[in-house]
Amino acid sequence: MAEIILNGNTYSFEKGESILDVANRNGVHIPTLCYLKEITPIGACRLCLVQVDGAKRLQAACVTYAMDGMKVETDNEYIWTHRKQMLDFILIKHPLDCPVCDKAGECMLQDTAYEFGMMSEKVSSEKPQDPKAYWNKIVYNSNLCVLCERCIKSCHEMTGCSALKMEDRGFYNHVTPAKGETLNCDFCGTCIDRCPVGALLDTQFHNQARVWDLDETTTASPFSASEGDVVYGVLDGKIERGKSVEGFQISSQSRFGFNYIENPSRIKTPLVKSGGDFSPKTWEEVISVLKDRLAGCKPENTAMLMGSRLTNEAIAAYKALMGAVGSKKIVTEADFTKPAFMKKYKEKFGTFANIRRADDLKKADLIFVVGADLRHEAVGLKWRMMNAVIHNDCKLITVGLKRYEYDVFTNKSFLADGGDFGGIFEKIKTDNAETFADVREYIKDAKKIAFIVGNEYTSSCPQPEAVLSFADFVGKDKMSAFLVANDKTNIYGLYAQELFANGYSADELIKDLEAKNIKNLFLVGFNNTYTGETAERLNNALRTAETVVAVDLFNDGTSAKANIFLPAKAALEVDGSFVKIGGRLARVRKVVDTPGEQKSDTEIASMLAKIFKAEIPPCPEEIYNTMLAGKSGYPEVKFNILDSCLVIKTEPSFNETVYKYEQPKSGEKTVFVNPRHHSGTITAKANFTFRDEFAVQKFHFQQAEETITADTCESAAKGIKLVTKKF
Amino acid sequence: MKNIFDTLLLTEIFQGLGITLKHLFKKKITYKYPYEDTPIFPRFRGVQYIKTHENGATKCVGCYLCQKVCPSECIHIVTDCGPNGERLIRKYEIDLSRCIYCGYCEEACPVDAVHMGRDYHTTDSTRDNYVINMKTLSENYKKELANAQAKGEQL
Amino acid sequence: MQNMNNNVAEIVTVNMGPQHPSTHGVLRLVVDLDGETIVNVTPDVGYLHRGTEKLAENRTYHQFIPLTDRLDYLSPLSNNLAYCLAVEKFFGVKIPERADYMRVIYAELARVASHLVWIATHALDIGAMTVFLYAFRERERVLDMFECATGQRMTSSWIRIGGVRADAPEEFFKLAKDFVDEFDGFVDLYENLLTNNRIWKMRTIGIGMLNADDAQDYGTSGPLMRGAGIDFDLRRDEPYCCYDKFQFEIPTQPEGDTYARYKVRMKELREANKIVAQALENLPEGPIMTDDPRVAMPAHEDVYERMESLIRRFYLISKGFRPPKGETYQGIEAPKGELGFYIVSEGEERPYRLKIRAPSYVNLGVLNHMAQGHMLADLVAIIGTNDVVLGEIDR
Repeated sequence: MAEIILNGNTYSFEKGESILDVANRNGVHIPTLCYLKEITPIGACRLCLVQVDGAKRLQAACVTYAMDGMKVETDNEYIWTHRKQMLDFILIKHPLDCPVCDKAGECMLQDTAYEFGMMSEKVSSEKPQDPKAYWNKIVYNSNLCVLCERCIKSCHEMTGCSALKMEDRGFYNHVTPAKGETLNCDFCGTCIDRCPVGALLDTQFHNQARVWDLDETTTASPFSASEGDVVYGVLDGKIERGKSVEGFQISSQSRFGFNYIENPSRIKTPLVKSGGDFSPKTWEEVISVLKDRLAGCKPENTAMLMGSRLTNEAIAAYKALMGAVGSKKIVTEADFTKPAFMKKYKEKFGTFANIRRADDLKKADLIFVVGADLRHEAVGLKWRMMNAVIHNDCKLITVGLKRYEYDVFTNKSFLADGGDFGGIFEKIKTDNAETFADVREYIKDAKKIAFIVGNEYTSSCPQPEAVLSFADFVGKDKMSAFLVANDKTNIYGLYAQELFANGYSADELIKDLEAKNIKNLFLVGFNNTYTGETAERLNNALRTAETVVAVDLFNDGTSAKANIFLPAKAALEVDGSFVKIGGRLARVRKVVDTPGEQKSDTEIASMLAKIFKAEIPPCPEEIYNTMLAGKSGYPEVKFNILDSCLVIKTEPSFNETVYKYEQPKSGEKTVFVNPRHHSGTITAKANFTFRDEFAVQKFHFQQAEETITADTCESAAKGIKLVTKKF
Repeated sequence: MKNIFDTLLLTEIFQGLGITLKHLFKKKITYKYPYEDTPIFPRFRGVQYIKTHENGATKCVGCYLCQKVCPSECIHIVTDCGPNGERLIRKYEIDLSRCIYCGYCEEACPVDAVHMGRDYHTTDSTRDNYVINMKTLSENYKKELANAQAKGEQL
Repeated sequence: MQNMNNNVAEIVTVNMGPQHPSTHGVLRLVVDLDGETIVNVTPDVGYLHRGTEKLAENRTYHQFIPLTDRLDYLSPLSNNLAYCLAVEKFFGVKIPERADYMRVIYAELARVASHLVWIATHALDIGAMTVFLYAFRERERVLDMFECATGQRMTSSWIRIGGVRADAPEEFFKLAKDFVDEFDGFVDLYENLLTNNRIWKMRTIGIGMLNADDAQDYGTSGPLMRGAGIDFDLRRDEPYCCYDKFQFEIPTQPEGDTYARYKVRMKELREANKIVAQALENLPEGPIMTDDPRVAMPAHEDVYERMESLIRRFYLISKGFRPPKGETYQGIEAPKGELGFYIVSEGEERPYRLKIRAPSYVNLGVLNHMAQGHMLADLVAIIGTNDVVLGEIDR
């Protein structure tokens, strides 16, 4: 057993661990500044110096491998003098910006300087005064930068964008964008969270408030289904900034897009349409209007369209409402995103949920990314994939409609011209060209193979079961995870509560609507931002219902067709839970109060149920404890101990997929993709400008429209046009 | 014997009366406020003022240290981001009715802006006038500067 | 109940309410009287309760110092000293010599100020109004000295954790020297007016008896205890803050009545003066704040120029220093008795629990015992000799 002696105590270690790893594991304190657990060690700050027996100079503990029989001292006078000198060098050129720097209060340099007991400087120097660099939402102050390279390494190893690099040497050393004048990355803000000083900051929070004045609440991200939990800092009832939970990452939507709840067009009171215009009413008036219009409604005339922004408790409440009415006519957004593929998925795996957890990607040896532009769809999966590639030596193969931004990390990237994913798979199975033979070698050598399937595949491939049959080829024993990327917040909650393919589909609803069978229609959180024939027919057919009750935050979009509009609380203003990709049950906590008289979805469902003489509890805790715990795989615990670590239980099976490859017809296909940084109406609403006499503030990003074809872009597949949607 | 002498002739009473008689002729030590103010020492902690640069811009940068250190939480600051990324101070208010004049804000300020002045006349007829803002604080600075120059002292 | 004339007595309960010129603050006494004789006195306190101990749980250690000023508001610098010594015990901070001497000077001047108020109000209650005016004239000089050095007459919060906030200006030493030279003469003045005065003697000898055993049982401290004959003073017996370098006597009187306590306190005035004189003479040069990096606030000018000082100022204010987990107690000889701070720390920047052992609170418990059998008018003298200040009792 290899052993190393730290301060006279013996500890065992495994090959490949550094002295710092061993010390951290056993509670021996060594101070650090540039060390970050999730990335490979850097060794730039030299604060972790230790004395190794036999070495003339002090060694940096984070980059020195532990060797058998090594004797290390971490805590004596000599070492501390040198550590203090290293910190002195950092502080000499650090400008006296603490009063105006946002980082004060969570600055690692302040903490380390206090911990070291630095009293006065031995050398004084002129401080640099270079201008700040504004890169869209991130501002870089090179005067404060301590050149620790955490940002560069974490962008390279954790995000897949590799957007930063170091430039120039000596005193002129600074960080710049890797390509071009300004940053063009995901703006996930991983670099902001990891920077130990105030060099990289978030411009939306710049100079707004002090960190120690904020009340922080941790909640699940209300924007996407794949990232970690978000910590929102609130001052005086207004959210000032979002940041990730320690050790995790969040996307640009969670970080910059929380202002949608303050958009001026947010509806604050119930509205009733009379004579073409909406007029505001109070809740009592609206309930009496609803009682009149919903009286005598028969089950076969009532339908509901459910959206994906709802929490699990809201979904359960609305399901119970329809149960009280007696109608089974519920159609959800799941009918519009990848319906054909998910049905084949269920035939193969016996469930709609993903196979295994998103974190299982980190341990994979070979990952297939099939038609998934992870940057737009599920950026959380991209981070875990990068983790596997960097730390686990994982091989990465992408099959898509274009080459992605992390192409430097892929081992092989194939372009499916014309959406011919099946063709690529056939070639991998049988073709003798070297590149395909290599892939077969990878499959043979790997023990854990993971699949990620996304929107590009399901929109363009004519045979959705192609990738499922390829999973058969890989083999049930080797397949470690199969994840379907989705950009909707709680789509997996809809799947878990059995609201998809349960006997009533979107087509049947459209037929009912066109035949004027539906008199009462509930639109709960449903916003038709989908493309395709079904979505368009639905939009036209909605006018035929007599009473359309919409429950949403904004009344443009599909809710504009409603007669009665009930304003709902956003996910940041309620308690509840979401189901994330991989089945993780994430806890949603209330962050702020609503700016108006909105009610939460569960309260509205409870109010509507009273009209039908049924009782639904309005409190999410009760709904979870009575209606969800232990059913459909939800964990059987009390609501108040949910902490984003429990998962939905599923029991997948592995059935053979029946499939025969057919060459697709030629012709140009149009695939609709999300614009950068946006995934739906709430992100679109987060982008507005706030003006008053002091300052102008712009929130979130604008939607960039672009069309990509093989003619204009060399990394795109032929025969495909990628068009961004507009929300 | 001495005791009867003292008791009958009230010796110690006359001794005491003699002391008070002497005080009749000593210099009076009373200050006739409000006709004349009591003298204050240079370190006196009175109503605050905020220094300005020569061009009139305030020295305060909005670092929030005075708000954090105040034991009675009487300072309220709101800052915002200006067009060039600099820090603007939207609101700087001190509630004089909560202030305990401890001088912690002066001690905490890292840019030599907030100081405790020598003014202690804080009577007013409405409570609202006790919340003073940046404008009043800068004007206090001008007043203090004028007073100091009139006396020939430095601030 | 039977009174002196062996008739059946009728107990009348009288309220000596919180607003009373003789109760030295907002002290309410419920007095049970049999005619004019006191049968029972129950103090009812709490009219000045400001929740100091609870507030301490929400303030950092540095922010709490102005709140300690307002406990015994007649000698504020003593309270600061007690609190700072208690917190410094957590870290084992070494205080530089000059800071120690300055602290002693301030503490003893605070004792002089407090005792001057005592003699003034005690004599005033008994009827000697001139002593009140003369004592307050001296107190004005002491308060002027405080204002010169710290900036405020009362509530100075000048003694900080790790030393003193800043060095005293030249004028302070001049004023102090003048004061120290003349003060003995003033104490002679008060003694000439009171000590042999027959009215004073009739009103104070034999009133409010407290013998040594009772004083110890009730837990009294300070002049109350020394006037009963117990020879104990924290400055000599458990020296803190370099008191062992000074020569001073501890006055005690064995009788245990009001006159004895009066003599003890007058002697204490002289001794305090002596200590200040010695300290002023032997004042060493040097820094006035420790250089322990865990607690020392950086000097004001350094912050404008040096990065480390700026960082330390930011860290100490925004996060505050964190003492190790544990508890400490430090008692000092305040003018009223033993003032102690008991602090429990959980490793946070705010104390978990802070308990103030206020001497006046404990001394108030003896009031009933001392007042048994006396007349109502003597109660006023007894409250005066007890020397309570409500700021401490109610906190």
